[in-house]
Amino acid sequence: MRKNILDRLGKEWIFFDGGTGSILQEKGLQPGELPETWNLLHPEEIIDLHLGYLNAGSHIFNTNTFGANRLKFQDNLDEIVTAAVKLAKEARKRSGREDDAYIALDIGPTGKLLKPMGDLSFDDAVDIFAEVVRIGAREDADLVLIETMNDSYEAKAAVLAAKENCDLPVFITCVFDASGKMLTGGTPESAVAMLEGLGVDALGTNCSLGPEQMIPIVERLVKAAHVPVLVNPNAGLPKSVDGRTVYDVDPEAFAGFMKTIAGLGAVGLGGCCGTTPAHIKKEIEAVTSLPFRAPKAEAHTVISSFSQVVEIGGGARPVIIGERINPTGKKRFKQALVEHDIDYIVDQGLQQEDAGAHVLDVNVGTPEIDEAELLDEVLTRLQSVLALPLQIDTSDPVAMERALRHYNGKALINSVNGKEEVMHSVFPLVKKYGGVIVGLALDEGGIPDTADGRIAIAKKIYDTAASYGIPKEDVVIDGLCMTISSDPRSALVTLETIRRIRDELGGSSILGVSNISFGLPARELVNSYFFAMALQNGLSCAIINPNNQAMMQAYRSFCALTAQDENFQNFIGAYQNYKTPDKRVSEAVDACRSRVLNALGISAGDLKSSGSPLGGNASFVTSNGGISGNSGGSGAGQNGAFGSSGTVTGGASGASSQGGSGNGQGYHSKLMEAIERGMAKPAAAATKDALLTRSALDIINQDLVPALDIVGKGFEKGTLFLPQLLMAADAAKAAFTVVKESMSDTQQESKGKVILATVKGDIHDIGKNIVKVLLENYGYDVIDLGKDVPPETIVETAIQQDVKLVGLSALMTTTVVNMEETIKQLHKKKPDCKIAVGGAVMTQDYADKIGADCYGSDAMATVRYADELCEKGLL
Amino acid sequence: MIELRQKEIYRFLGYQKITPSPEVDERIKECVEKMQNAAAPRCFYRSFQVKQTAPDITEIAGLSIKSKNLYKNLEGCDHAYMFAATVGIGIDMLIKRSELTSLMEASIYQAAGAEMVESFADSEVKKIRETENASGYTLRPRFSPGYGDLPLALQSDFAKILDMQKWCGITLTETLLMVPSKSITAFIGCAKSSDLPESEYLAKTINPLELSSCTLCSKAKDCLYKNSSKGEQTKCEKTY
Repeated sequence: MRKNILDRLGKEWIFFDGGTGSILQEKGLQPGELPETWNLLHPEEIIDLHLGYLNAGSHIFNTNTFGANRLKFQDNLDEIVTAAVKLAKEARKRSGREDDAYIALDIGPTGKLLKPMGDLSFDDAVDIFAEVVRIGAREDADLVLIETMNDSYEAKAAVLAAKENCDLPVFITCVFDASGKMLTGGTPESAVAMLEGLGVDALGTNCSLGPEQMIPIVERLVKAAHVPVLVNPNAGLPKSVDGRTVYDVDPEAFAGFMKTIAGLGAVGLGGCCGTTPAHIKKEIEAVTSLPFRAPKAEAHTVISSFSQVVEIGGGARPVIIGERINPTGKKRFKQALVEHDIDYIVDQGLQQEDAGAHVLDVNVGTPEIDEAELLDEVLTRLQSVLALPLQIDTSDPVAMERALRHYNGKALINSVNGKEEVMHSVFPLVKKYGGVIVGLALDEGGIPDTADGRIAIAKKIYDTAASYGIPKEDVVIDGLCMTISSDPRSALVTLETIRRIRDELGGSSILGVSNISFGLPARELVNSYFFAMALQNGLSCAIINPNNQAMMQAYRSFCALTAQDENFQNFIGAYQNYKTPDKRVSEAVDACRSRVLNALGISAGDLKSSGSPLGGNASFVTSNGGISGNSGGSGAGQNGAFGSSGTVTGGASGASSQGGSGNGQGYHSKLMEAIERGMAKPAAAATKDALLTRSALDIINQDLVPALDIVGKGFEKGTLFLPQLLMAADAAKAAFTVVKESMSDTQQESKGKVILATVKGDIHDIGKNIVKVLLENYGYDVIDLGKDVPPETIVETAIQQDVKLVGLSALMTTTVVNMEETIKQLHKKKPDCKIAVGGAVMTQDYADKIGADCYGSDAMATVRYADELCEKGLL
Repeated sequence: MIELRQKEIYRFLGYQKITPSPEVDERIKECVEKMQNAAAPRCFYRSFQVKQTAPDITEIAGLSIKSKNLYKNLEGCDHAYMFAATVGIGIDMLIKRSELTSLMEASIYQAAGAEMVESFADSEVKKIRETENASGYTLRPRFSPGYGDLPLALQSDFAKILDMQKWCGITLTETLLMVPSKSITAFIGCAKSSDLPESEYLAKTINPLELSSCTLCSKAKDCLYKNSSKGEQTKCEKTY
């Protein structure tokens, strides 16, 4: 009777088989021929392949199902997989190894890249794998081996499919290149964190490299992993010789390296492409000469994104969790949620990353919206553009599960507490998807006002988690910050709690630091001092606003003081140009004074230094604070674009202090200058200045749009080029963001709604995005449906929201047919809707042929067309 | 590190005769630095016998391809490489992220990414050329699915025959676009050296990738990327 493989793996050397494809090629498999077809066409050859490895001594051998999925075998998948398992059984029987050889249902990648980079959705990927798993399990495979995974997200889909559709052990091996990266950026550490979280029984690496190049990767895997590590290298790197693919590591050399790898702590060993029964036989001889040694797993608390890990507690540097993606108390953020302005939300994430956050909290809970839907969408967008691990922050278990399912890594989860009901609804999710769970030290009895009470709840949370199979290192306790303004001793209780979590419970802690000062003035003072105290008492993670200087100063100083900042790299990086507050103030005053003087046409030398700063005159802060022509502008006029309009003198400022209402020929504000020269930060700053004296709408109409127009006309005339137009658009966008912030209370006027979409089948969408920013800058309300959009979605949206202009983009001749289809449907179902088309393959003739109303020959054309329609009242 | 030709980046960015300002140059430099860190260039190729027995039909690697242009490109070759190269998904990620923060940067990544994969492919082809030259062969210019009358559908065959997903991480969408987007597949013919030298051959074939000028191209009038200096060799991302 065969023992369960899990009773053997990790307790003795277990050997896998070697290459399949490379052997079948020797047997006559043609280039491009799918190896799995041989299960039906040449069953004896497949049995022979298995026998080779069984006779060499492999314990685990793979069914010939690497590429067997419905994408490649629409009609006969069941037949192919069933035959594969049957042939493996037959081979095992013939070899007389019924008692100690195991059939692994082999699962390779789908061959597609998942969204958002590719076009296969995560849920579809799970379905595709699930189908194979169900067939393999029905046919009695002994385990599932997911292998050659080079994208962590696809690996997650495959593991979930296996866990949800069978009770077999699940093993997985991923592909890392020589630099230790998966194709989509994953590392051994990030892969281990995610895969162990999902509950795999063993993990490791295969393919891509020869055994020698794999050694550093194996070392990292063994160090990070708590489950047995598997290593199946190629026989070196493939080379094309006379049309054949050959590998350069012979069995003897291969065995030597594998012995080294076994010595590092890998316990499951085999081979991949190019290895043969001879390689495996030698490998077994070499490795079994070593005494078996089970590696000891180190306990550590780790969360991950697709490519990064963040370690919590256990001597690791304290972790900063950015709190800004959260609607609480933020009008503009709430508005973005309601308006479905995902870009704004994602931008909050990017800003916090730049400010030094290690992890981002993601909370989109607000009335009026479907939280599960929105959380899923925001999370998916965030993980497509930034590599920080995320903290999923919701009290809705449905939203939590969906987010955990689609998260590409091992998340921090916020949160459970000591209430039985909450623990029993959340812990099963943590167990299934993996993650580090935040446990709030409160329960049915409320928030204990002593550290003793909070520690008791922490213990209860640990114990309950353990009963679900969640280890202590996957729980982080929130010691709870209550404002000192309602209880002057509350900070002391919190500090004691986190100290005791570290010292008595040996656990990690987390705090939402800024609660401590609620109700007090000068909150950042209290917050930053409390933060330093909490760190000194052992705080492992802090949820703060990383954009707040005082908080980051406290953090970086603490790390520098406690030898947690090697060579003071972070501290010096952040503060090498540090200025004291006094100095900053005096510089600001000086700058203001010289602007005023400049505006008045007085040179600084004419005045004796005066103690009283000039102030109180609104015109000093108009948008036209006095730029002296082209003197400083190395870029302006460079290409002859700005020569005619680039001169601004102090003299003009008088006229514009009226708020630019004249907008005569001479009017040319600082904001306009910044936009034309494509300088985003100065544009934002000039907008802030201008907002002090002028209305938002005025700024848009008098400065923003005219400036863009100047650049746009230059572009159309061919006197300046796309990069300048784009830089101007970037700057206008920055200015527009500031304006929008100021208008978050007021209903915004829109010139009209425009739908933009890249048509079905096309996944590259920069052209569409350029048009989007330009349209937005010109005051249009853009509904961006994204890329790869089916005609039906576009038509439905146009009808539902009564949109009169749709812009379509297509990059490939092959997808223009989908554009044509979309136009046909739109004309039929929404006859008053005009359609503009653009994209690399589009021409005027083509546009006419497929029935478009406008051919967008360049980035500005759609804007002009929209303006034209707007004037005629057709939008 | 992949060497990028500044001039090619300018051209992909839509500059024609003009030299960009120092600010733009600085932005390009910063972007290219990030790209060098994000790039994960991979390449895979296999050589196969070529047979041309009927007009316009080329037989290679078990495929029978009807294409006037490929026929001409591989005429006189007894073998040819099927070639795939990519600079990796990291470049697409940079593009994706910058689309949110700066369109300017997104277009620089697009432009420099196009140049990066060209340049990487060139450097790999150079290795092939050296080997082939040593045994008395010269190479034909790369010829890709989608060029002229060579069907894009061949991408699926490249994917299978080269096992592109496994060796390069190149996948195809349902509409046969490559992901990572900065990827190249191509046939590279090998002919005995008595044949025309590579440079001469260029003038004789209508190869949109390596035209000796843009004058032959039907879209040259409106093309943002056209090479304004006539007679100079240029490369085009597109095919018309």
